[in-house]
Amino acid sequence: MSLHVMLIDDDETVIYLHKIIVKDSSLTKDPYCAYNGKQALEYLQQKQNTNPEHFLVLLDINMPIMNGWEFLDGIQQEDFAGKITVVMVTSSTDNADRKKARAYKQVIDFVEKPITNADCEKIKQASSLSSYFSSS
Amino acid sequence: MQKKETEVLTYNSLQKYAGFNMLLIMLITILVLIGWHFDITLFTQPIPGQVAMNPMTALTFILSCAGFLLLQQQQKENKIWLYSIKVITIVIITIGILWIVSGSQIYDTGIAHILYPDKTAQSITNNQPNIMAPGTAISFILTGLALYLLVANKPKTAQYVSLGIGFLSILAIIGYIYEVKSFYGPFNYFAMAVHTAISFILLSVSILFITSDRGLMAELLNTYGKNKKVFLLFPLLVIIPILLGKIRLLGEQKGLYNTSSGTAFFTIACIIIFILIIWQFLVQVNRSNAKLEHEIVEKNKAAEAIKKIHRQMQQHFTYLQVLLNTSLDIICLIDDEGRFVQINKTCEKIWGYKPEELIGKKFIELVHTDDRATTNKVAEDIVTGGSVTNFENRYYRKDGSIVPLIWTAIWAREEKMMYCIANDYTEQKNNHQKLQEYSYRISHIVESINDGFLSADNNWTINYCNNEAAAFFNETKELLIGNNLLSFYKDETARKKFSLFNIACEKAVASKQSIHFEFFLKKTNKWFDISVYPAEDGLSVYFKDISTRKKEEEYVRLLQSVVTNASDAIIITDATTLNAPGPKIVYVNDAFCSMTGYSKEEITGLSPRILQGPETDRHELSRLRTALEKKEACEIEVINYRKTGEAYWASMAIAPIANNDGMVTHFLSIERDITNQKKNLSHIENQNKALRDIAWKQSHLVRAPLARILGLINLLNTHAVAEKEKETILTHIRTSADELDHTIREIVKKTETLQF
Repeated sequence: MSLHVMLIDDDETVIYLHKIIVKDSSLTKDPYCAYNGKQALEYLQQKQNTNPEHFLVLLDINMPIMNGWEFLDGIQQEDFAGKITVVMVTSSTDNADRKKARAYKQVIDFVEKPITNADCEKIKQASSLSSYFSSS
Repeated sequence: MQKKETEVLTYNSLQKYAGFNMLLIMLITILVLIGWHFDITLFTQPIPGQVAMNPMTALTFILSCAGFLLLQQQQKENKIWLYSIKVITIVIITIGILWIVSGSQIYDTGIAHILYPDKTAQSITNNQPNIMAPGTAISFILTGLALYLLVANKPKTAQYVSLGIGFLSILAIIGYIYEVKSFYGPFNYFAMAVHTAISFILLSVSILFITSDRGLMAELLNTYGKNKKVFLLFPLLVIIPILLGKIRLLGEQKGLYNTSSGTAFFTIACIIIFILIIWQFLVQVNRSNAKLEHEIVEKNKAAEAIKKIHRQMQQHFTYLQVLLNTSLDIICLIDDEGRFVQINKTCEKIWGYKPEELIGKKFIELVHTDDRATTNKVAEDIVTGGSVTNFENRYYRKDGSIVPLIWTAIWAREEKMMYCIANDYTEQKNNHQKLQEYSYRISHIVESINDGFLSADNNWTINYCNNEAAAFFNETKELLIGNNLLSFYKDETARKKFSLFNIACEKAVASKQSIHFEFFLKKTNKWFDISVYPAEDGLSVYFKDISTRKKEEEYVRLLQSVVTNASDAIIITDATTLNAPGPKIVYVNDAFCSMTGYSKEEITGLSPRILQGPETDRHELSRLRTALEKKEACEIEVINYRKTGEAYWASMAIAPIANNDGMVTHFLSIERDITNQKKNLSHIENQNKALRDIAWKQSHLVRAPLARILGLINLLNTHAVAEKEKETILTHIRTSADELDHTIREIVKKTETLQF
């Protein structure tokens, strides 16, 4: 059992940057990338139906087509909702957003862009994820 | 009244007749005894050849009469009286029984010869010995029985018994008249003597008379039977038939007519006479009936009149009672032992005692112990026929307090009582005391006041002057008193100095009106308030040092000019109420008028609330109210409205003003128009808000490319980057930097377009 990581952001630069950092900090070797919530949700629906696995999602809020909140709402109805862990990644710290995020049980943390190695190490320590990284 | 007595039979008159009958019987029987003693046959045998009355019979009659006379005394409580009657009853009945036993010839009891045995034994009439006839014996037994029944209070039975006695005796008399021997001597040889029969009739009638208020007699003698004429018809009913019968008998014996025509004559006479008697009876009954009816009407009239008088008396009594009880004085009756007999209700007001508490009580107990000796002396004087007015003493009230009283009292000789009137003297006494206190107080006040006081007579001679008044003239009190008010001055300068004062005094006296003026003394730098009062006997002058007040007035004038000329609006209101309609404006300055557009005249008396309007902040007003209720000063900023309706911002400082006692009497409000300041301020505030909005909205847009740049630079620093990748990173940095630049340009553009 390994942890899958998914990056969702509409900004190509961010995806590029975060991909490198996620790999560097060995959260995963091959993160899946999506440019909006809809794309990510469709992927998950397809993948998880056959063989549900644990996903860590680094989620941006402001996106076209389907933003971060809509994505979070979308997965709530799915069977695999319990297999998803979300870290919100935003460009500006907004208390209203933090408050809103608390309502979703999948959200475990709130990180400001750009994500750093230190952030990744902190994510690894999270109780729901630590089991994947204890051996290394 | 006397006329009525002669026509109507009363119980008392019948009693009298009964007594008279008894005495008659006793007279007859005593004569019989005398006849036996002195051998007078007229007394013992009134009809020659007929039987004599046995002396024992006579004695029994006397005993019977004595019994009935005793009975008439009616002393039921007296045991001796009762026993004597009973003994008499037993003796009479015993004698009767003994006679019967003797008469039956079975056993001679010898009763016939106890008295004058020789003479009675010789008295033999028609071959008969002198012994009592059976009728007589039975009559005595009946007499004893009647006496017993009367004592046992059975009058009706006694009356029946007496009728029996009467019947037996009348039988005997009829026997004598018609010479039927068997009637008066049933056994032919011992007959009832004629006077014995008469005595029994009298006795029988007496018994009926004695009991005339009870039994058969009471029924007979009610209303109509009391008529004397009606009553007299009874004996006629007995006597007339007897006489008619005798006449008929004599006529027949003389051969004037035979038996059948005699009987017819007798019957006709009886019919006529009975009709006449009944006729007379009815006439009498009707007459007395009419008379009684008339009497009843008269009686009712009299009763009505009495009732009316009674009512009037009651009315008078009530008036008197009211009069007595509403009197402010105590009015009372005291008997010769010094006890209250009657007293009006005023005593409760003055003494605290209710009349019923006092009646029977000795008045001296209420008198103050120190006044008792003199009071007793005065009371004795009154009882010996004197009267007293304005006697003063003190009484204890029920609560123990003392009340002074003034008494007026007179002795009523017939009633043996003192009529007394007492007046509560407390008030007069208090008034007198008050007057004394008052005059003392006035002289004390005049001595102790700080104001100067001076009085002079009609010749301007000063007769009273206190130190303060003397100080006014800069002289001593001693020098002034006795001197002339207008001419005591040492020199001409002094006179000149007070010339105005003198003129005022002369003017006041001449016009007989008081004058009031202020006077300044340069030397001492003092102001005086002077009042001159002319009077019948001269004049009085009061001097009051008002220097302090004058200074204060100066100061006030200064302050007033400050207020009047201030550029801020100043409002002074009274502090009567904070509730609607609000405190009233008593003063506004010119600045207020120019600020609000109201004139002084129209705003005075109104409330400052007239300045408030729809946009006036109610919170500020309630804050002001709370502060003023606590007597604290307060500053508020509210929108007020000018007379034209134009709104303006006013900054107001309101403070309560207290008087010397610390009581808030007024509120002072200083108001400034701050509309312009307010406008500037809100302008700046709006600007700030717009800028804050822009900053907030754009921060996200700025942050996003900046964050990317930072991340990418960090990547270059920390990551081993291939040459080709470096180019990619730099391209990314470039894109982000361009985005950042674009965003900042947008912000500047937006800020510039803001309209202020």
